[in-house]
Amino acid sequence: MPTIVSVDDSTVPGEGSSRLLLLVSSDNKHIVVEEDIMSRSRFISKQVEGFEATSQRHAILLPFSSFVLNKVIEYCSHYRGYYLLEDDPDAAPPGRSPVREWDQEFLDVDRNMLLRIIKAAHYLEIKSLVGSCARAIADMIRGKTTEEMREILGVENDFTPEEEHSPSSKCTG
Amino acid sequence: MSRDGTETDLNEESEELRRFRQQWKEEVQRKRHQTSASAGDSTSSEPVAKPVPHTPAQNEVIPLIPSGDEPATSFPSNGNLRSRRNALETYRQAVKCEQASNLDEALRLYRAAFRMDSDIDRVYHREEVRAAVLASSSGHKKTPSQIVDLPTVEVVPEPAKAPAARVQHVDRTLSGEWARVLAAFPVHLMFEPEDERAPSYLESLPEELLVHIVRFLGTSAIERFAAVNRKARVITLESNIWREFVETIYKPPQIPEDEPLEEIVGRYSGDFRRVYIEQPRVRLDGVYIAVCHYVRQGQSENAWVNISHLITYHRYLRFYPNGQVISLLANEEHEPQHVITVLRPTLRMKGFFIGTWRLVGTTVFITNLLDPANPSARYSFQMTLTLRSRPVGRWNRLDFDGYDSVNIESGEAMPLALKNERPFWFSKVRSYSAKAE
Repeated sequence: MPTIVSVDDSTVPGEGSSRLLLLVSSDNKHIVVEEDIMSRSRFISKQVEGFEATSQRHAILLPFSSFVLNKVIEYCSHYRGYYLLEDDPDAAPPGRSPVREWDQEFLDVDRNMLLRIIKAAHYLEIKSLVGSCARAIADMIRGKTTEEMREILGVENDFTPEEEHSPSSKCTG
Repeated sequence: MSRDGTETDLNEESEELRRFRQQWKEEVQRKRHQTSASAGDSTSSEPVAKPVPHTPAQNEVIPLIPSGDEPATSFPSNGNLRSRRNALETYRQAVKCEQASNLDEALRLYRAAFRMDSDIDRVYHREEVRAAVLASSSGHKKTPSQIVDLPTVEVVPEPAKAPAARVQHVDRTLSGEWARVLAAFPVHLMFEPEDERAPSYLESLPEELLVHIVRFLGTSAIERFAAVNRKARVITLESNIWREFVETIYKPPQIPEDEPLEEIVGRYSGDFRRVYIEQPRVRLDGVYIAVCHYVRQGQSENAWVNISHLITYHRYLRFYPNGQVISLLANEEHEPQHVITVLRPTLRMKGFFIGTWRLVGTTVFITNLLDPANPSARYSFQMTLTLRSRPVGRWNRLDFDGYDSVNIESGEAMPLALKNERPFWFSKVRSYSAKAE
């Protein structure tokens, strides 16, 4: 597990092969994490490449809370060193992410947390996590009626009565 | 937003009404304290509390809205929703009574409504605004003043949210009725939270993520999701979602070998969703069953009695994506429930045939139907059927056009009588669909 430390200096010195990164969450928590854990994130990799070009290392500011960030780090730590096809920028992306049992358990969280994680994963460009979250959200509503979906997703119906009974009722199954 | 509206409304109300509300509120408060003895009293018979001379202090304290310290019920269950509807109806009647100065009855109804749903005043207000906006927008556009009168018409999303909600700019190939319906939608669509105290996180997701999520739903779940609200509808029309389904389904034998899929898609102006809905396809996720009857004259000892037997038999057709089809003719001894579970190419029984199928337009050609247990047969069978969608459901009926026996050696086809044959109807079978899709 990553450790949370508060660092006054915004730069973290590299430590040989497993260098450290300083991530700063929206609630201003400073999280130090080993670089190769986060290499799954295209966003972070690109940032690190930028550091190398300028030979300066900065903290990476992220627009989500430490709670969400820690969850993402947990995911990346679990798959540290694993090859996941969806995260390979050179491989043709599969149509849909495969089912991974660990992910399903990992994403067994409430709706809002799930939506926060998928947003964070999208921001960080971690395709495998985006895929697993999308699948988890879809699983949440798949077998439900429209009315139940509204409740689960917590959204309001803004159709006019005419629209509601217009072509949308056409069955496609 | 609408909370402010409610308060504005309150200010505009007459003194009398406010006093009335206040009295009622106090009464509710009192009732909460005295927990006893309230079992049997019918609320309507209870006298309204004496008018209290209202001091400024009292005026301030009692907002109509239940204060925020109550736990927010952000996820009402199904039952809650129903009771909310009831509560809404009751609240409406209460408002009518109040307007007709029937205060006793109004009080009783308000009380009942709040008992059913403590948030009912907000819900009511929102419904009213929506109805008013609807009425004014569906009617003539020349009465904008009506809209202005309404306290909470700022349903327009705040500017900060606008970029995410701009869905119209996405490249979306659309044709037919949906193009028309969408033209009437406002430019800014959003997932409005059901409970405005809880922000809608779905709203904050970029559209590409929403499309990604929708792709994991099956087609029927997608259409149910589409009915959630306007933005959901727009997202589900994204052609790429349907492209995947179309590309997995429409390949030979579902389409002729010599007709590339692009040509078919072109006929629907590139709208993959319409291809999925309108292009005929044989359903592989279940079985087509025809129930046929005929009457056989029985033998009778007695000249005065005529015996006839009504014979029922079932025809089954199950299609496979690889072009294989199995046909089974089974009599009453074999229950359909049982047959469906064993109907697969390895089955061997009387009346069981395996052949090949292909679809051209709406015509299904089934050829080379042979009994796998009898390799030395001199005849094979072939069927020609028409695929239809009716009355509900897609491509769920097959009508017999022709049924021939074919002499394998000479290739000569002899038509068979179709007198007793009935159309096939499709039944979805859960255990089949996993394999077929």
